[in-house]
Amino acid sequence: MFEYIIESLVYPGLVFVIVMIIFTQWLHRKITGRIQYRRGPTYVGPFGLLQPFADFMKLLLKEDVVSKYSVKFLPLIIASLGIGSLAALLVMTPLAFKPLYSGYDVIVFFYLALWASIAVLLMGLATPNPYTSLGVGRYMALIVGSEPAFIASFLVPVIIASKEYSASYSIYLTSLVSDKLWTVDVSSFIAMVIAAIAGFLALMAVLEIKPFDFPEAEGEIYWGLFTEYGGPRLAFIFFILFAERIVLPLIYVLLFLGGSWPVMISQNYILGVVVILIKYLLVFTVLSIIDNVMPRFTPTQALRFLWKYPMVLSFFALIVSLI
Amino acid sequence: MFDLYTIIMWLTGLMVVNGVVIYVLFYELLGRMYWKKLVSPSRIKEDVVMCGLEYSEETLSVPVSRVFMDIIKRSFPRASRIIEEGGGTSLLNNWFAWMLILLAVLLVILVVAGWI
Repeated sequence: MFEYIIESLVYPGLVFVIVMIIFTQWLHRKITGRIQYRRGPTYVGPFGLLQPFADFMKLLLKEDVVSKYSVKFLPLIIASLGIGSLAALLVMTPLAFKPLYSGYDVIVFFYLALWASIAVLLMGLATPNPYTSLGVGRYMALIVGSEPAFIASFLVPVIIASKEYSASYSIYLTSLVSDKLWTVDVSSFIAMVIAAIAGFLALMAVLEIKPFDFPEAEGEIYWGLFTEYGGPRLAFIFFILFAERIVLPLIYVLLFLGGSWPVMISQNYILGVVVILIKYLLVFTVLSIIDNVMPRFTPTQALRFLWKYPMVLSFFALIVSLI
Repeated sequence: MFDLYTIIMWLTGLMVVNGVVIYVLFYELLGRMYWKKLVSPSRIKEDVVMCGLEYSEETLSVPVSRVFMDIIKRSFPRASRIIEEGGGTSLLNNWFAWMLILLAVLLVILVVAGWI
């Protein structure tokens, strides 16, 4: 019993997520710096590695200022649960030494993953600023456009693994055989290719990677959802957004990119985890480059794009995988 | 391997434990150690100030649902026009169409179940 609590609090849960956030945000800033002909963080810690941690602590140690029209306590609870859901989710993956899994646990995965988006939405709704309301309206449109495609495309490998390898609709059991899903037969290969493309586009939208960052749209609607926030509350929002950028690409690696392949994680745990993390860092680097070089969609353009391409592709892949 | 109900309870419990740890550690504890000692009350801090002007709650209210519906309408102008002009409503009110759909669903279920 206690081992699951330790796993969710330390590795691959909360402490792991915090360490990964610090490292990936450093990487993101370095990539951004290189693309913009700057050096990126260099000052705090070796190679500037601790700069994101210093910025996080700066926000946490600031005075908590809340306007008198805002909801005071609820956003803190919702944000904490949003971060907690993402950290707990990793206990379902092969990264955990003793994972928690069951048949049909993919439902629990979607339920926990959606918690983070709902937390961001409710954080925005808790403040009265008109720019925040514009941001929340835009974020609702983003969720309506991206989540169905995200769920449909991430279901495809789970369905194929359950049909061919008795994975019982479990994220963990699917991750163990995800390298074999591409070569089951022609229809599975087609479904996996289409779902991988649609899933990546939906993932970008869920993570608010450009061109899908219109709910924030800094410079256009100030900072949209987060206009009113500063100090510890803003630190919590960053925590959710950055934890999402750790957990969801990791699940993408486990389901679509073969997990720990070419190493069998059940035989060599440490090497398997290293392979998964290397693959994850490659996906994160690609996402960071896209985030830096793309312009921003207007809400209308983004919604049309999401409904036209990822949504149609993901449902097509879902039908092909079910046949 | 657990059953689904146990795992839902477990993961929801772990989510709450993580949430409580985050709240206590990063908000309450750090607050008591540092920022709660720095608090300096001010009326301006509690007001919403934009472009140097203070705003009240009445002037601030922008209905989120209207923003959302506006984005949806502008994204799919043809579909929203059909719904607004009554094309969709007349179809929804047509009982013959509903019964036709019900019959088709029943036929599909019978075929899938192997009764036909």
